[in-house]
Amino acid sequence: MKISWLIARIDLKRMTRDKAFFFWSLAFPVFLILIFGNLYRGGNSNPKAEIVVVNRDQGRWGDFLVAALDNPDLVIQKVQEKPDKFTRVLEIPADFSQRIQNFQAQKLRFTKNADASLEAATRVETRIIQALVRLIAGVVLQPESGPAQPGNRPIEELITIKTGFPPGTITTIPSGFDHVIPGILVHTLMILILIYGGITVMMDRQSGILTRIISGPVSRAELWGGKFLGRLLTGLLQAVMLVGLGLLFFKLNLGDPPLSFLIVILFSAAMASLSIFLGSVFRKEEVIIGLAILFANLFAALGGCWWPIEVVPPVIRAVGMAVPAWWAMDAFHQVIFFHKGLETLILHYVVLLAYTALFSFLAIRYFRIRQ
Amino acid sequence: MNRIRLIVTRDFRRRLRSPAGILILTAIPLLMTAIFGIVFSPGEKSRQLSIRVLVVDNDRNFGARMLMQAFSQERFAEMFRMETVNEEDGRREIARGKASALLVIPKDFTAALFLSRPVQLEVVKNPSEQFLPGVVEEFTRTAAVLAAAAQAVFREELAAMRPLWDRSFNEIETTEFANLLDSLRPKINRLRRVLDPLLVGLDTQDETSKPEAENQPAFDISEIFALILPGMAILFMMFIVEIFMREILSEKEDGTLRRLLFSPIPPIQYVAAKITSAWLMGLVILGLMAAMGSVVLAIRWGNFFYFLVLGGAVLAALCGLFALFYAFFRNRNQAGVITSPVILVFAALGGSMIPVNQLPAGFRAFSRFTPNYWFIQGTALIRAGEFPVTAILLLLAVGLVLTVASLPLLVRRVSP
Repeated sequence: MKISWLIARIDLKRMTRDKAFFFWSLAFPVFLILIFGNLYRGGNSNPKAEIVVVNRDQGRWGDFLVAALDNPDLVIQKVQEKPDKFTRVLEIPADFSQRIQNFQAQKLRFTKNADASLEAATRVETRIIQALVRLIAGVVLQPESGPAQPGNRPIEELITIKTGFPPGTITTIPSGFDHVIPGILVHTLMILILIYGGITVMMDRQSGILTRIISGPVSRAELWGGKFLGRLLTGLLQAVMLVGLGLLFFKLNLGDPPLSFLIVILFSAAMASLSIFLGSVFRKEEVIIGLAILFANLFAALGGCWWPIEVVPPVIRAVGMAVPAWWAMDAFHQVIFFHKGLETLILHYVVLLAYTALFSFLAIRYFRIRQ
Repeated sequence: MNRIRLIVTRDFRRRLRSPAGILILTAIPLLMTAIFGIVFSPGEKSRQLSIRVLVVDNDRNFGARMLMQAFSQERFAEMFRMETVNEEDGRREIARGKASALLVIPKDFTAALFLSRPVQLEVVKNPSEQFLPGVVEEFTRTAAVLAAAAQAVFREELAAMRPLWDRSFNEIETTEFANLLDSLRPKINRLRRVLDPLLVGLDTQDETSKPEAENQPAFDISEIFALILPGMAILFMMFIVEIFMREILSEKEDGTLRRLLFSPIPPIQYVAAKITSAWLMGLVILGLMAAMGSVVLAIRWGNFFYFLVLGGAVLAALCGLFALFYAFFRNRNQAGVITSPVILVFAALGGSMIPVNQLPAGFRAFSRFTPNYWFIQGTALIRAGEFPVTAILLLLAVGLVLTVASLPLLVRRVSP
């Protein structure tokens, strides 16, 4: 064990001395976290959506609609002419009230800037539809003589919606970063361990380092254990850096930290075994890099590291359960969002251990010391 | 020229003898495109994605049934998978994340509607899901506005009907019904006039959408693939061209370069040959990727000649870029430190990972400085039947400038 530990420490030192190590383990994941975290920002981080209302209506129904549109979610900018630049704009034509009075069907034009937030546009569109429902109710209720005013009790107050999360789970809406950081962590752990771990095993074999080590008082098991431990430590180092950064700058919610960290340990162990297998079987650096990228991206896509797994078609979701990243991600969800304990996570831990056992079996079976 | 041809031929032969690495890097973009396409295809999603909603109906009356029916109307019926459960089971299931949301309809919901009394619906959301619970919440809000609007319209009639419910059918006088009907008739007539056809609808457009879009054929998943593959292809072409250019250092390190320079090959010809072979092999691989995209993913690229011209231009820019990088690198480790990060940053900013219009505004400003952006824009124009003259000229100019700048530096690097 002492020798394995020594080999692991030397491997870790070699990897961290590589100038690219901190790019792959820290800078690149942070870059991805910033991009994806902003992309999947939670609903509470940007509560107001903008809309420009061009009200050219000569009658009173235009004002009625604008009043019905009023909502804490929206920032409404009322103008007379359509601006050149906008995120989204609703145009009320000059004959809007006239057509309503004459019961002539019409469509209001709602134009969205394709570059603006899709989520905000959807929210605004929903609010417009709700305002149109109120307007149509108002038309039905109007006296024959002219436009009606809103009723004594605004209709939205009659039925209110209370929203929340189940008791015992999170109490505040999670930020985009809470969703994104575990995904990026799992993805970049795979990239880092598989590429670095695989290539260094191959290079150590080709350059004769493994032969030199085994010619000393080191058993094959100790050598393999050292290589495994070295890759595991690499993953853990990256996880500590990323989680630390997440806690400091992105207010990352980890749920129960020891349980979350156990997920990282078991997942890194599975990837460490897989990396030794790749490095033992293949002889060319570009093949190992290609396969590492392939496995990392495939596992990430199927495991839900890149996008919320709920938007994935059911077939792909079912296939995803066959990859270790899915189990790591689901375990993170159970800890972070549902505050579940060991009794729920035990299944995830066992599955990740099973992957470690499977990849270790392959890695031991094909572990080669000489070229 | 003959010597350059010989080196290029030798490089091609060597690659063909051991193509595994390049083949894997060629296959990855196709595989990733297939996965991205299937996940993000709107056509597929509308057929397959269903939002599981648990409903606790404590009201068990007309109002609750109307509300639940809103979730089962036409296109929404496929979108929402409604399941009525008892409250205990529902709360337990949602706490285990087994549905996107739990909708709790209170006991007096219908009575509240009849008596114009405020009433509250509860939506309990799955905390681990980012989008679907929000869809349920918004839909419930809209359904609530609809129900409240209907209640506002028929407020007097509902209030008049409420006492009738507590009496047996035989106790109700015909005149009471007649009065109700008299009151309802003008409102129903008005409703008919505003709903058939709908008095005020919404015409939603994207700012950039063109009128002819309405005449386009129905959604085709290959369109999604055609949007994704160029970004993926250019990302992996950068890795592939980088591997080819890295051979300059590999051949220097393993002594091949020294042996070559013993023959009557001047360093400038060697460098020119390496850039040419990287460009040519890149073009073959890009063509192969595009062809596989057509065959396997049914992508229509538009004019294939235009595509190859654009491919040639972008490869010229990539060869020039990596030639310049390798003019400064002393060894392969140094190269690895710089090139992979540059490739990934270009990919993230240029639209290979996320469409440029969805990038944060701060990042978007850098997109135009990446070859990824121009290649992706160029392929979109070709698919639209246009020749991407700006993208091609720009990429060729960048390629020319970088190659010319890198040649003397690379010659100095490889000279004995």
